[in-house]
Amino acid sequence: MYRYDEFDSQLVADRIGQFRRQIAKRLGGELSEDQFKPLRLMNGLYLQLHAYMLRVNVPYGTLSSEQLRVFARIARKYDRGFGHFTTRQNIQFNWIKLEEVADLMEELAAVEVTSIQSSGNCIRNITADQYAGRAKDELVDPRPYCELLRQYSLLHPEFSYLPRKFKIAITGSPNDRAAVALHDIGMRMHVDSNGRPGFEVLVGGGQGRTPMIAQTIREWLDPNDVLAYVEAILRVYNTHGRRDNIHKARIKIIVNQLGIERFRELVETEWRQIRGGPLAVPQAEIDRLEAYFAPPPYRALKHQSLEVQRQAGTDTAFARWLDSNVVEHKMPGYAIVNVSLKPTGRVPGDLDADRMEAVADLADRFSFGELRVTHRQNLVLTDVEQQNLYELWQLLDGLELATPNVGRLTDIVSCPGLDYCSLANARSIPVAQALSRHFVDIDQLALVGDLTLNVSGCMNACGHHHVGNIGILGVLKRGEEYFQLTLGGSSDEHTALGQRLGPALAQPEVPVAIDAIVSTYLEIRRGDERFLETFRRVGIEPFKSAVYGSTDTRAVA
Amino acid sequence: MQMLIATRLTDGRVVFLTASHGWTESIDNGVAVDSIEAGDELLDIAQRAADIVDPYLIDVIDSESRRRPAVLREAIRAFGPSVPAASESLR
Ligand code: SF4
Repeated sequence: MYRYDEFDSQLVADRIGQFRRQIAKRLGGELSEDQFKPLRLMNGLYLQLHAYMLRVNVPYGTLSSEQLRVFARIARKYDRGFGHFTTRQNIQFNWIKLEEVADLMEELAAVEVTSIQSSGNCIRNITADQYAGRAKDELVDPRPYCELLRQYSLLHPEFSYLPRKFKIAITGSPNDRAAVALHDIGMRMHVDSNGRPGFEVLVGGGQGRTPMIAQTIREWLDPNDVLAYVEAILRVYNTHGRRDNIHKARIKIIVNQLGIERFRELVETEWRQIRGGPLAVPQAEIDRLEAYFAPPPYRALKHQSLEVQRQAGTDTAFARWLDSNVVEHKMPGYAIVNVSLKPTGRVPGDLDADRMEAVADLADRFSFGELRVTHRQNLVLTDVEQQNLYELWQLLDGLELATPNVGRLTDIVSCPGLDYCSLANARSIPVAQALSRHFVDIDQLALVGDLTLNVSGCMNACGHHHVGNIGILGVLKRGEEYFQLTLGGSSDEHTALGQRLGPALAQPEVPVAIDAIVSTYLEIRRGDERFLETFRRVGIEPFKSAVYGSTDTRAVA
Repeated sequence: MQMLIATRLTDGRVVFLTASHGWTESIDNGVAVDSIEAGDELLDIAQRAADIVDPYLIDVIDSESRRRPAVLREAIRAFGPSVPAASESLR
């Protein structure tokens, strides 16, 4: 993992000191709320329905056991004993007091974690594949480049007042687990015929009320040029981005209005002027950053110990968990383990302090103390010896963190919705809970297989409903909560936006509708076709009639 | 009937204006008024208060059991999230 040097530590300490003084001025009445709001947002502090909410960055989702223990302490000391992991690999604390927040930030800074730029119109946490550096299918480890961009963008004076927030994601694997096409800038790393890494750069993706899929602006970018190119994009955005209408202020709107060709011309013109200048990234700097992400001291092991296979043969519950929650590791004899934060009926992504500590202990014992946060609101233990999987599974099961549902129907992504969020239209968490309880049969989950379900409480789409295979959006109709379903969304390398199924449904109708959709899929799928593949083959109609009844008389005739 | 709801500056908690122009976390202890003029008066008092943020009027309904905000969002503000905290549901 990256470790702060003296400059990082000083920068963060200075910033906290500054914010502490700003808070004192606000509490003393010297600053009005209008003056204070942009300052607190720059530090990740929101005002929600019940309290202040602090969003804490987990840079590219990488977390140490020590940091997770500090989250547990913060949850107990400053919150109500829990935290909420978000779809951008961060953690949010829901019950924060303004008068305590600077102390809290100092405790975070002691383990090199900050909330700076987790909100506001600036460059947000850079996100990445949660299996970065570990996945068997990975071509290049994106973390050194994420860290490079994190350092570059931290308190960057030119980009602290962008027209709107700005999100960057990088994947180093052809199987995109970082949803790069849904970011303001998305990067896919490739390797050329000489083994040199490079970036395909995408621009203009985003969700919210106007979802758009990013387009490729450059097929190949040398690592040396990455900062200059990102800066060129940011400059064009900063100049052309709209500041008069918040709904039209994201870069996607500009890319779409100008067209990718024109946007590219502007960026490349800007880039030519700054390329090779002070922003050029020397190989020595890349090497220096890569050294922070050196592999842990793996043991020389043989792939797939016989013991694991034997236990899986006799214990079907373990076999199920292996099947859904454990992923192949690039090192022989090791595995990547997903810790499901979606036990039946719970709030997706929430974890209490006791369990945070327990998971941190498991990370120390089984995974070199390293964890990841996923954009599907789960945790990952990165480096587990296969021969320890059975024991780890038993321990996770004892904590109710081994539900075999990762990537399955009940691995529901949900934003906080109207239970916490001041922008919400409807409650997303109760919908997620109802579905989780409805689809409790583990055999059924395994039968249905890969299927993503995402719930957002309003058009801002923090629950990424546009790209769930099944998406659920909370809307308000005459003061009542309703839920709009979409089907066919996906956030992988074949990113697609979901199609609207039909009129919005009342909350109790949602599990019934999802049941009808799933049953239809099981009836019409061919072989081992996944839900998304079936949907792409047959389209939306069969699902529409299953949910709303057949209105097409020709189909009956 | 209307009440004045706001957010307390120090900790962000939801508060209601009381008859004595103080603040209470309990909807039952806040002042409820009937007329538009009385509502405007509450708003006026709240807008001059330095220890709260974002004051506004909400409609409330007195039923047999208890007083409730008419709108779901305000009911959630008044009574807290409708879902248990992770730390509660796990014990
Ligand atoms: S999608 Fe809407 S309701 Fe959900 S967290 Fe985002 S802003 Fe709040």
